[in-house]
Amino acid sequence: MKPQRSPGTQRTTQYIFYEAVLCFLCALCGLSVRSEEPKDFARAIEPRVFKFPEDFGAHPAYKTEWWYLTGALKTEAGEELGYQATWFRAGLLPEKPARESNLAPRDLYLFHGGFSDVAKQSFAHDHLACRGVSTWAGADEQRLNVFLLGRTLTREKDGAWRMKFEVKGRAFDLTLVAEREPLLHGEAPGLSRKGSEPGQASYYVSVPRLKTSGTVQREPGGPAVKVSGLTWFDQEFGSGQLAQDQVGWDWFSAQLDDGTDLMLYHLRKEDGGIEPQSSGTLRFADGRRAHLKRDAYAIEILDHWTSPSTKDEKGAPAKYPAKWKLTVPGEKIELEVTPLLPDQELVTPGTSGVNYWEGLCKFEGRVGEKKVSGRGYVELVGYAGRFLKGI
Amino acid sequence: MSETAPAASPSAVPLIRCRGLERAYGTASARTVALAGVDLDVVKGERIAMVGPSGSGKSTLLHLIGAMDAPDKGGVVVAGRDLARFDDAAAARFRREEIGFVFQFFNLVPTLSSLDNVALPARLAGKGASEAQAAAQKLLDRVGLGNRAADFPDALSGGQQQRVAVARALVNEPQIVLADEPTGALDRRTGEEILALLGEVVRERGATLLMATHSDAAVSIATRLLSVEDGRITEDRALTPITAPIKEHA
Amino acid sequence: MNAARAILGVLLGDLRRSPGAALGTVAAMAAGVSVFVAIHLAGSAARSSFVSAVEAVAGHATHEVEAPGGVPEERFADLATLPGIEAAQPLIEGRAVLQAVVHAGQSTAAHAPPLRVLGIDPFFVGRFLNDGGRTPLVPGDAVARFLTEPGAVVLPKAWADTAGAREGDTLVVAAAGRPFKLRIMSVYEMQALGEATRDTAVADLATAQELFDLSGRLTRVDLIVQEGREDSVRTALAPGERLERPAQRGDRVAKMIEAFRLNLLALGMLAMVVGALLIYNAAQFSVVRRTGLLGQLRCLGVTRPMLLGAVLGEIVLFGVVGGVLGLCAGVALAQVLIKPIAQTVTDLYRFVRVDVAPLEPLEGVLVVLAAAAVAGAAGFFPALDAARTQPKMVGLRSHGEAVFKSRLPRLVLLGVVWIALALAASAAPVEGRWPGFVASFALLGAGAALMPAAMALLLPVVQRQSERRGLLALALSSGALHRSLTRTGGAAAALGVALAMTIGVIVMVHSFEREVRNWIQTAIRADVFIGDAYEYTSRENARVPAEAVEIARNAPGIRAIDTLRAVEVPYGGRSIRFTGVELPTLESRARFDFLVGRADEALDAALKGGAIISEPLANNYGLKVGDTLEVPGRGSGGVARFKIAGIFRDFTYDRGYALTGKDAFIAAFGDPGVTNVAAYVEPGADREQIAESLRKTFEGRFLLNVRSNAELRAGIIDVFEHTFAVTYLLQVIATVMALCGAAITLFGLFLERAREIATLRALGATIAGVGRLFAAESLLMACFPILLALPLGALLAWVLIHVVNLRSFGWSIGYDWPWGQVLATCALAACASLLATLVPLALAKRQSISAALREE
Repeated sequence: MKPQRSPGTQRTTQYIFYEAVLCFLCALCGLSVRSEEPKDFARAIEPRVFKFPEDFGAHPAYKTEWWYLTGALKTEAGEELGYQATWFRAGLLPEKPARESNLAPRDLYLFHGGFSDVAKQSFAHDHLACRGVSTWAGADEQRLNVFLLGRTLTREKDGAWRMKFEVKGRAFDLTLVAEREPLLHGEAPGLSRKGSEPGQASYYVSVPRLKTSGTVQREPGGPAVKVSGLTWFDQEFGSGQLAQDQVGWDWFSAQLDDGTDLMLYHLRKEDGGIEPQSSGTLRFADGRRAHLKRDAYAIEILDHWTSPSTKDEKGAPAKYPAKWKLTVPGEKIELEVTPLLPDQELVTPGTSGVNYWEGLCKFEGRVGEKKVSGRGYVELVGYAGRFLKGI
Repeated sequence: MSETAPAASPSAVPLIRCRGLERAYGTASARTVALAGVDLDVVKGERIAMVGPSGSGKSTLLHLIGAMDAPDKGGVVVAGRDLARFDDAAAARFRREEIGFVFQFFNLVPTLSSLDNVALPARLAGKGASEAQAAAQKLLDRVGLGNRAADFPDALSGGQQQRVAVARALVNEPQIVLADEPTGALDRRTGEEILALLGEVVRERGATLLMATHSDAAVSIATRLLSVEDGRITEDRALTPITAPIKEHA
Repeated sequence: MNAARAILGVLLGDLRRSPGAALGTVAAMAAGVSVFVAIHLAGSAARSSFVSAVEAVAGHATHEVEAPGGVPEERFADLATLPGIEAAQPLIEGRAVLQAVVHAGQSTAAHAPPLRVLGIDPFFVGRFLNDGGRTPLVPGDAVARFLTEPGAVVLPKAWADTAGAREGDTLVVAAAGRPFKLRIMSVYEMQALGEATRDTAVADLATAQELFDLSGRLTRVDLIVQEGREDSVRTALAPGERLERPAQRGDRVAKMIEAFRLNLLALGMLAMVVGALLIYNAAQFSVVRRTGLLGQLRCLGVTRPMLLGAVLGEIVLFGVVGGVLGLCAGVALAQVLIKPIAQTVTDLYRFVRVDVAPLEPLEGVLVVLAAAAVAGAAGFFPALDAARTQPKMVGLRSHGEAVFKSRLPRLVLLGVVWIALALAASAAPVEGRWPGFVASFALLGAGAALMPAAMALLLPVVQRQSERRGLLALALSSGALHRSLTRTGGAAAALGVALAMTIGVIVMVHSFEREVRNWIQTAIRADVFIGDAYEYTSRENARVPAEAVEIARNAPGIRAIDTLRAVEVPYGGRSIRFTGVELPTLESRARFDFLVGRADEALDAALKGGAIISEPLANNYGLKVGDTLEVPGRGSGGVARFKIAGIFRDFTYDRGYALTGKDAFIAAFGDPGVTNVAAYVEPGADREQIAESLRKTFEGRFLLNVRSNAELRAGIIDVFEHTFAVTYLLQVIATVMALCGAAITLFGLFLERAREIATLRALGATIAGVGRLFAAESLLMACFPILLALPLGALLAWVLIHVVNLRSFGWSIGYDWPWGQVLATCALAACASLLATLVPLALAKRQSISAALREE
């Protein structure tokens, strides 16, 4: 967050306004590791008692929060589609400012959307930021209702979730129904450690396997196509959870056809190592939950993909891992993860933008003796330049 | 100068007395001496023709006598009045009452008719329009242009214009008529006619005439001939006796 | 070509002998061009300061949504998410006036041009900036502060330098009737927004709302609408909202000062006309003067076309030289004119800060070309005369004069045609102000054409009569003027035209002022007026804070107050003012002078939701009592409707002004806050004292202007006088030009006649006599124009009042002839003309008669 300000030096990149705002937001969204200790915001130190559905509402006492949805859908004709829809909340202030104007924000909101059309091998993405004021953007506390200029995620009276958004002119109107209980991550359920220091953690809950139905426009302004499938929902909130030396992460979520839900991630460090606090969570069809510590699983990279549009820190085309082998030896799980579309990179223009890969993948392998397959999402951050550069 | 002023009888007080007149023009670096010491006495009734090359000082002498210019040195006394003492108003009054002018280029006022041109000095002298015009008409009749009274100068020939000018010079019955090359802009015949006219009308009124001229014919109407060269009078001789009666100067 | 050049060489060589004529042409051209250029520059500076400000901020917006009193802030989300919208941004705009700069805890009073504060949302502004947001307004690392710190502002560097403020300082500014603190977060160079926004600071929406007391509202929402989706957006508008293209706002804004600019331009044209007349005059004379030379040239085998070309070439050459000189003078003059122009525009419409932009090189070239063309046109007929010169060795100037005089019947005919045109134009059933201008110019044209003819006719009469009466000087001078009619006619025409215009304007302004003074007696009834201290500077956000309204309401000695709320609403492609009032007292009701409608009924109807309208509004839009005035508002279909109950006199808003009751106003436009308070004091209370005590109460807390009745009346008259300051200035310039023309002509006449003068003196005229002659001549030169100008000026005043004023502003004014001022103007012209004789007279005095006679 602190720029190296030297008078007289050209700081063009840092001054690129729009992009800088985005970066700034991302930084606030907890993707930042450079953030100073936020003094006024609450921190995720102790395990907390979750109460649902109230806890799907916002937690403005914490600096950052997101509602993250990734889903694998099929059209009636069986064509595969994937989507990502994320509402970020970035707290500027821990409390609503005492100002005459309603437009003085406490929070900023950011929406990211991605759409993967496997049949057409096309990918589209979109992003939008707005202050959390008035009818413009915001989220209710004690109730799931996040909105940002017409992009809404709301829990309706019947308990179903209704989600509306658009990705570059493609309107999504989806209804989500939870099939299982929310899944709490972390060794102490719900508290997910991200670093060794106390407070370098977030409260992290997922609702895997949301039964999803509704309509999607596969082309901007095109016909609304009926779709159905499964969505993985993540909600995470905390304040300054990442450590200074963390440069990015690889995150996996899978919904396997035997009823197994899997989430695991590696936080990558500056020195090339993996953060020891990296972890994962498993839940089997029978409801058994397992917390996976760093050494309980392995991620092997099998292939790479080179981005046509972004560059890494050294200026070479950004190179992302593109195929993995996940193993959880203790549970006898082996899965091969293959992207259904090579290019699912979200690119924000400019040199200091945040670029990441967030894509629909195929998971195939075995759980114990059983052959399984499924769909899930992989998120790769920090390959196309360090995302904090220039902030 | 042995032949100087043969007609000047002791009893005749000179009407014009010039003494030691000097006049130069231009700046110190480019100085033109017009008069270099001129003494001249003119008795009433004399008709003097001044001859000499261009630039010899004839015009300057006329202008000094006419109070249109002031000498650098010396003085002019006309009818007992020292011109040097005149201010602008006195000089103007002197010019319109005592002097009549005839110019080489006529110098009629182009916006005035012949009659009004002739009447102009009378008007300048404060006479009423009708009185002045009556006098002017008489003079126009006398110079033979009675029928052109209403014509404007540009409608008249050079000779006619000069006749108007002669009439104009006489309208205030001046004692002295000064004529500067009156025939200079006219052909020879016309010039002779004008000279004859000028001589006659001056004699009729007993006026005194000083005339700068190149014309030989001028000698025919003059009683005295002055030759001027380089600002000095080089010759001064009487021509014919003054025929007109001379009234004693009061 | 070579031949033409050779001839031109001869002509120019001849000029060297008498440079006066050339000087006259060049000076006339230069004067005309300079006035025109100055007015053009100053006028367009005023205009561009309006329009470019709109453009710079509108940036890439295709449309914008506005509503009277502002767009409710929650509407932004609706508008931004409409189908067919590519991008949207909320905006707040207003003006603040610097009071002090606080640096390191030290407050120093400071002055700088009013600061336009633009409240933006950093997340939406990027798409709308001309560079697509490449250049930041807010440094990326400072966005959080920008959004959260109250009063945080980013300043343009130039403005900050003027104010003597630096990053980190606090500014105390006046806005919405009170002081407000702004913290300078950073200072930006202005590439992002361009030159037009060098007085524009950027703040977050929240800060801007607080600064301008606009909580809950946005000034407007900018949109980028997809091609062809405009209609679907329009159907989604809420009542009162209107969708328009930024250019339409620019148009509306530009239209506000259109009438004003047109008036200026007309005056600029007047200067050009006077200049052209003087050129014509100089050209005509130069041809006549050189009749002999031209005749000789013809003898030497010069053909007519060659001569035409050479003479025209010479005139055009002077035109070019004069044009270049005029250009330089004009740029300088623009600096003089810009101030009164800016003042007037600020007084009448809204604040503008104008600097004269440097003249574009292309514009400069065009102006010089135009000058050459004007010179060519003015010199064409004289040149044609020159070409017609018969070959002869001795040419007489009188011949040229005769030719000119033979043209007089044609000039008379031309004059008659002009008069017919003037009559037709003033009777023409054409809307707008063009008929008035055409009629005015036609009248001037008639005057210019008839002047030489009148002189040709009258001068001989004067000469004869004065001769008969023994007025020698008059006779001689009228003769001289008549003889040189080619010169004197034109110069007199120029002077006559300028004087006529001056008289016309004097009569118009006087009549107007009398009307305004009468009206003030009726209209300004309240005892104490309270308004934003910077009402003129920041008309858009001028406000009396609610707290101050209550203080006034409860102040001792005050019996009642009336609150005025005002919005600008678009109507018929322009803006009109809509005001909501309470009319609590008899006096507040008595202040309306109704032209149509019965006072009490009309006012009651207005308070119950009808409206009364000002005379200009009625005249400009043909509205009558009983009609319904429909403007954008919160009524059904987004239209607020008011039945017109009366028409009253008003001189405050030339664009028109409608008035309704407070409740109806708020229902139609929302409550934008109180813009003015009119207070009525208890019987017997001292107005001045109450005003003073209110001032004391407000001091330090609010920045309000408290004026007593007398002060407000005086203020209105002040504004009135400002308004016509430019008009007068331009009049003076045109008249001075014409006087110079007359003086140059006289001067030339006198110099040429040195010999004639010497002859007169030889014949016994005194210097005083010569002086009388000169005086008579110069008075005659002034008299003819004056005699022409009096009736012509009266006619012009009639046209200005009944055609121009009524049609372009809608004000009906009684005709009132200010003899004193008119006669003083004439006397001034005569005196100036007399003064012009002093130099030639001094020369004549110094000139030796003998020397003058000797010269030929």
